Amino acid sequence: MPPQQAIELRVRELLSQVTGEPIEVIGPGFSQATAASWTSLIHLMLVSQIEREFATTLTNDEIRDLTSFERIVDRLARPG
Amino acid sequence: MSVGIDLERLDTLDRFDHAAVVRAGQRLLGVAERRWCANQASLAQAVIVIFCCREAAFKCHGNSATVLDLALVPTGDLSFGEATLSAPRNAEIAVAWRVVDHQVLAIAASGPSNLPSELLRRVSGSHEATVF
Repeated sequence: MPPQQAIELRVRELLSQVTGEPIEVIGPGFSQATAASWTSLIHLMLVSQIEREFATTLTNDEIRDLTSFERIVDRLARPG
Repeated sequence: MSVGIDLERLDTLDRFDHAAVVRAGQRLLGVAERRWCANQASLAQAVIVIFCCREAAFKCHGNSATVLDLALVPTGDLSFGEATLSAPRNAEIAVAWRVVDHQVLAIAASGPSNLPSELLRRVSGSHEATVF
């Protein structure tokens, strides 16, 4: 599986686990603005899960901006 | 004067395992907050209380980049307590929280340090009078 697809799949799984939404509804267009279950507290849980799973550290500015499926995938596809 | 309010369900983190809550706590909590959480009966609920208070303070503060930029010095227990912002912002905002009906309600306010507790007493007092 190409790295981008692997990242997308893992982000789908993580978002489903953390928000409690079915994995089928998670993909492009899924965001904090469209999912009522993606609260600020759940966002904190998501951030800590992402940092662990992808062995990365997000800055506070990045955390603030990672509010959609696409933004998370884009950030994780970048090195660093 | 400015005011910030937040409300969180105390069971929000029930579906997460303890290790995930510990990681989130490590990501979120400052020194005084960790010390306070360590003395509470439930780490998950303690993290929720702190997060709720930070959200209220963040809304009150208005110019913090994220809720992660704030840290509190809490006193009290899971059911009721007060907090101030850690230095260097400690003189700016005070926060008070109270658990009502399995939810934690936090109010933050600038101005007199007893204002959040007084607002909370009035709000939760009227809530109890209406609901119970």
